This record gives sequence, structure tokens and C-alpha cells, in this order.
Amino acid sequence: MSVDAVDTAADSPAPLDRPLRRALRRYARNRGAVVGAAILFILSVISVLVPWLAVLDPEAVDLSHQLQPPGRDHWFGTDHLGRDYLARTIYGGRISLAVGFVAMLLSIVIGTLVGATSGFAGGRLDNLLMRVVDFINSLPIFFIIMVAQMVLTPNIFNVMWLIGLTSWMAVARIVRGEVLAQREQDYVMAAKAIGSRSAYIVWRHILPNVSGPIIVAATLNIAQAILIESALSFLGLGVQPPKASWGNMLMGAQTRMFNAPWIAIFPGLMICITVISFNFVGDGLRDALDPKTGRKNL
Amino acid sequence: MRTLILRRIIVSIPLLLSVSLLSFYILQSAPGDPVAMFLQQSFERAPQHVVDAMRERLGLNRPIIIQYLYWLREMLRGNFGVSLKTLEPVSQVIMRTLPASLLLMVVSFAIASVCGIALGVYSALRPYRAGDQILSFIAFFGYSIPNFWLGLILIYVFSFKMGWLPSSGMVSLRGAPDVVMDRIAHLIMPVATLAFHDMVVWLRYQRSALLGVLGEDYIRTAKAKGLAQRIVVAKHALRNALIPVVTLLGLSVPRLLTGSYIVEYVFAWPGMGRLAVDAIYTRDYPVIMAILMISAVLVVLGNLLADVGYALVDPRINYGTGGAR
Repeated sequence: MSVDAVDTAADSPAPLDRPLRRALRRYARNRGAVVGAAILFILSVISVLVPWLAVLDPEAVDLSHQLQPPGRDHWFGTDHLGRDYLARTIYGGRISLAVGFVAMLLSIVIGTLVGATSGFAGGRLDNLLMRVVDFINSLPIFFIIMVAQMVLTPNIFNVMWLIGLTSWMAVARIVRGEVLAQREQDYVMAAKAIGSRSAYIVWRHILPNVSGPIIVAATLNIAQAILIESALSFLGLGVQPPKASWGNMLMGAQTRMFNAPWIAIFPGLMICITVISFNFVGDGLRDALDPKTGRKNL
Repeated sequence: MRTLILRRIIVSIPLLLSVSLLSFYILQSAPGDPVAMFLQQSFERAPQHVVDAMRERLGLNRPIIIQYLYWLREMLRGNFGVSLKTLEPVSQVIMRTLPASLLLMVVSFAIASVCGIALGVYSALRPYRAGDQILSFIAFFGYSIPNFWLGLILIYVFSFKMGWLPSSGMVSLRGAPDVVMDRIAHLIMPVATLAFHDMVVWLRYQRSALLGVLGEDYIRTAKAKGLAQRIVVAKHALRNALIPVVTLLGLSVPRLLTGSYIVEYVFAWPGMGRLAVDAIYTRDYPVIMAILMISAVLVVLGNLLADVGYALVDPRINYGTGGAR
């Protein structure tokens, strides 16, 4: 703690900056979190820019070069249709990341709305909403997503909203708890006293104060969504070929990996690296944004 | 205690009914006509009057709510209908796959919980030291690795490269000299795949529970009295730190029976998880419906068990029943 004190005194930033700077400094101390953030930054840049960067075509079939091992022409080798596996891995990553991101957004929006309403309104509405959360939590969710994909013909958009729609409950619980704690604070009383409306108080005053836990939950939700998407696609119930996703690239791997291990290795490794990065970043953010757990780590 | 259990059971009835109604409705509105699909097996293109007669006989021309009530009545009698794929009674199909899931899940559950709790205690007693750091990295890894991929890697290394372990199924088709050893050999990789992930969850759970308890005043008091660290941990801390772990135990119950969809699929393990995936591939609606209902009931039971266990190990908790136990 003493190092902290000296630091802040030395470069004495504007008072408003201080929490952010302190959070950043705490974050920077967590090596895993920094490495994770760097990896995710690189992956995102590649994912966004790849259509302009290179002449890679993930869906170009070349039957004269099936299942080529990694080499100079194809850094990651080729698959059973002779498609360049590096291109498929990159484009697959775009889709997996996009699915994770959209599903996370959806789950955060629903979870925050439900949690904030529940926590602020209290009483019967709170009770009802929490019953709904319990209800959804008691469903065999992965199986239900599989059934829904079967009924709806699987495609990427269904994967996004199905995962988003089934992963907001934890967020709702967290937000509700935080809102309950904030609701009794003096600043909320003050806002009420000057006649602010409830929705305005929640949006303007309370949510900024609970943004930390929401951001952490968002990061972890992306990781979770990517894992669910990969499992669904692996079973053929997620993103459909010829579009590549890390999960569906592994679909045929069960039989082909014996002759062509790279078919199994690259997409799986990418899932691992990405998900572990998100988890590290989430862990770092938790320490950085929550003063209580942060101190324990020093 | 009894009131708690009773109340929870009563509350869960409308819950289960709505699950069943909802899934029944969704499956009914799914594309594809099961009658036509079934008749395809014997006719190239079934004559309309055959289709109609079949629908009539199966009651498929009645309103959906009547169909649902029929289904509900039969289900409560333990009749889940007939598998569209094999024409066996669904309950028979499920009873055949259930023991395999149970075997796989109980073994991996036991290994995961024992190792996870032990490692969690170890971590909590030496927090932020090298051992704890390594374990927490392994934990991150365990959370992040897709279990089907871990399964594939294990198959590649230990079945294909080394040739040590069978890659799929539960028994050797050609027969084996020692039945027990054969079963164990088939169990090792699926159990390892499942237990690795679960162990990590147990580890983190136990670590944070014990760390929380070790910071409490009464632990400091016990230490101040001059009790040995060993006794403080074993007698004072662990007992309280096991409370949240009981919750995890209750929540694990449903999976013990329904198995794991993905791991059973990867290792061709003949359990309920694989049955579920197969039923989806072949659109075997009665089987899907049965598995949905069984899982929902088990989840409700698991939650109930968790609450009861919670109340039993922690006398401070009472669920508004006036402390009656």
C-alpha cells in the first residue's frame, strides 16, 4: 500500500483521474491479465482487418491439395477439401469471437435490466423476477439449446441469441445484489429528495456505481459463450459449414485427426488461448475494479 | 425441516408442469412430420389414407392440449411413449443407458471432488505461494479448455500414438480376459476428461471458502489459545468451509444421472448423454421429451438436496420454519 501512496503523491493526477489510474495500475500488476489483454487485442485486430489484409480465402476448395501438413504454402496445413487451414482458423476466430461478443451483449443487457428492476423495485416484482431466474436456472440449458437448434435449423444468428438468452441469470443476480446495496445509500436518497424518477436514478446514479461487477461478468460471459458455441458447433448444431468456426472445424477431427493431427490441434488451441485470455482479463478486472478483493492480492 | 422440503416440492410442481408444457409445444411445432418419417421406413411414399389412419390411431389429429394431457397422464404412470427410431418403449431405452452414465459420472465425481477439495485446502493454507499460483494457473486452464478437445487430444495420444487405452465404448467388442480391467481401461480417458474440469471447480470453491473462514475472528482466537495449526484447520475451519461445498454437491446430482452430452459423444460412451445427442440427430421426439423431463426433475431434486444439506450442516440457517429441524 505504501508504494501506492508514494506513487499517487509523486505524479499527483487530477482528482477525477485517480480511481481510473489506480485501477489501471492494479491491473498492470496482474501479469496474466496483461498478457491476456494483449493476446485478445491482437486477435481482435486480426479478426477485424483480415478481409483487407491478406489474400486468404477460407472457403476456396482445392481438391488436389487435401490434408496437406503445415508447410510453406499452407502454414497451418489444409483440411479434407484442400482449404487453407490458416485462413479457416482466422475466419473461424472472427465468427467465434463475434458469437461470443453478441451473446455477451445480449446477456448483459437482459441481465442488467432484470437485475436493476428487481433490486430497485423490490417487493413483489423482485420476488417474481427472481422466481423467473430460478426457473431458467433449473432448466437443462445446454440440452435445450441443442433442441432449439434442431427445431430452428441451426445457424449463426440462432446460436448468438440462444446463448445470450440463456446466460443472463448470473448477471441479473449480481446486478440485483449491487443495486440492493446501493439503494440505501445517501446519494440515492438525495436524488429521490430532489424528485428524480426511479429509472433516471438507476441509470444515472446506480448503474455507474455497479459497472465494475458488470464489466467483469461481461468478460467472463464472452469466454463462456465461446465455449458453448464451440461445443454446439462441434456437435454440428451450431455454426454451419462452409462457414468456419473453431467448433465446427473440430467436427470432422474425430476421424481425420489420426492422419492429420493439425486438423484437431489448431482450432482447439485457439479456443483455449482465447478463453483463457478472457478469463485472465476478467480476473484482472475484478482485482482492479473492486477495492475489496484488490487489497488481498497485494 | 419437513415443512421446508414439502414447500419446495409443492413450489416445484407448477415449475415442472410449465417446463413440460413448453417443451411439448415447441417439439410439436417442429418442422417434419413424425408419421411421414416413420412410414418412410416401409413405404417409398405412403398413401394419404395410410397416413390419416396412422394419425387417427396415434391421436395426432386431436388438439394439442388434449395430446399434452394424454402424454402427461401416461408420463405420470411411467410411460414415456415409444422411441421413433427403435420402436422400443422410451423408459426401456433410458433404463438401458442410465447405468452407463451413472458409472461414468459417479467415478469422475468421486475423483474430482476428493482431489479438488484436497488441493483447495492445500491452496488456501498457503495462499499466493508457488504451489497455489501453479494450481490457480491449472484452474484457469481447466476452466478454459473445451472438454471435447481435451478428449480428442487424449484419444490421439493414448489410443492412437501409444495404443494404451481403448478410444471408445464401454466394453471391448472382442471380449477381454478380465472384465473389470477392461471396464477400467475404458473408463480412464472419459473420467479424466470430465474430472479435470470438475476438479478445478471444486478446487476454486474449496479454496475461497476456506480462505474466507480462515480470516474469521474465531480462528484467530483458536490460534491465540495455542492450538496447533493442524487442529485449528481440521476442527475449526474445515467444518465451516465445507458448508458452501455442500451446495456444489447438491447441484452436481442431476449430472450424475443424465451424464455428459459431449464427453459421452466423444468417447462413444453408451449413456444418457449420448442418447440425448443421438435423439436430437434423429429427431426422436419422445426420447427428447423424456430426457428433458428427467433432467428437469433431477435439477429440482438437486436444488432441494443442496438446500436441505445446507440447513443440516449449518445450524445458523433456517428457512423461515422457526428453526424446526
